[in-house]
Amino acid sequence: MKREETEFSESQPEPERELKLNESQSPYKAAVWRKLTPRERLRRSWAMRSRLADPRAIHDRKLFPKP
Amino acid sequence: MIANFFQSLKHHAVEYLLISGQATVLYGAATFSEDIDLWLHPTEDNCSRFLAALRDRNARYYKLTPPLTIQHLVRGHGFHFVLADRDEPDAFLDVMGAPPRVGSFADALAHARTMDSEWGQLPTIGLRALVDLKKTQRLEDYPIISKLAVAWFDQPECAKAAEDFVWAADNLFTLPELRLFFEEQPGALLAIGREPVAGLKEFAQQLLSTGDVTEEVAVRVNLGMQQRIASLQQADRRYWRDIIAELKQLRSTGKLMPEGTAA
Repeated sequence: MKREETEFSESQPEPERELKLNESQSPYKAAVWRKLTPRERLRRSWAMRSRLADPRAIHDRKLFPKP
Repeated sequence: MIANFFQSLKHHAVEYLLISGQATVLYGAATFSEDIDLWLHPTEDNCSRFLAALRDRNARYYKLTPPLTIQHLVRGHGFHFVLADRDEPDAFLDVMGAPPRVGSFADALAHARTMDSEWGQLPTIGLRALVDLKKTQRLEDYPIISKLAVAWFDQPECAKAAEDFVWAADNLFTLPELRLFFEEQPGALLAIGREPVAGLKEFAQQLLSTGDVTEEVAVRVNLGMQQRIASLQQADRRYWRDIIAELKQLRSTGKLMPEGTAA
C-alpha cells in the first residue's frame, strides 16, 4: 500500500514506461492501461512476453490443466 | 514473426476472428496473454486456406490436436500449433471453429471490430461475445469479464441505454469493478430492474449517497457474485465433457496429430 501511494504521488501517467506483468491490477495502473490505444496495449503486452522464463509452461498450464 | 503470420492469413484470405487473450488485451481488460487464439470460420475452403497460411509460416502441430478437418472444427475441438522463429521465442497458436457460448461465426463477424495493431488490421471478436466466451472454468477469467463489462461503455457501439446497464450489471463479478461501474455510470441504478445478485441496488445506493458501502452489503453482494461464477463454471464443465471424451477417444485410437508434425 505504501509503495503504491508513493508511486501515485511521484509519477503521473508515463505512456512510454513499460508496465510489468499484472501491474494493471492496481486501480491506478488499470486506469493508465485503459487510456492507451488498443495498438499500444497489444504492443506492450507482447513485449512483456519476452520476459517470461518459460512461455510454454504458462501456455500448457492454462490449456491443459492437471485435474 | 507474428506480423508475418497475420500477413499470411490476409494473403490467403482466411476468415477468422482474434478471440480470448489478445482480444481482452486490445479491449483493455487484461495486460497480458502468452498465446494467440483464433476463431476460424468453419468451412471447407477456409480450412484449406488456413492450412496454406500455416504452411507458409512453417507452423507445427502441438499437443492434443486432432487433424484440422471441418468435422472436428464444427464439433468444437481446439487445435494447437507452434509458430517458431530462430530469433524469437516460440509462439503458441490456439484455433477453434465453434467456440462455446458465442453462436455462429457469421453473427460474431457482424459485431466484430477491426483493431489497428503492429501485426496489421486485426478482425477481433466483439466485446459482448468475448464476455460470453470467457465464462470458463478458470476463476481468473471473471475479473477480466468484469473489466470488459466496464470497458463496454468506452466502445463506440455502446448507446449507454438501459439495456447496456442491465447487460453490464449481469456481467460484473468482482467488487472493485462493480464499484467502478456505478461510480462511472450512476444512471445504471435506475435502469436495473431485476438484481442479478441480492443487494446490488443497495450496494449502488450506499455507494452513490455516501461514497462507501457497508461491509454487510459488500459481503452479501460478493457472495452472490461468487455463486454466479460457480454456476457458470459448472455450465462450462458440462459443455466440455463430451468434447473431452471424444478427444480421449481420438488419442486412444492414435488419431491425434503427432506433436511437431508440419501443418
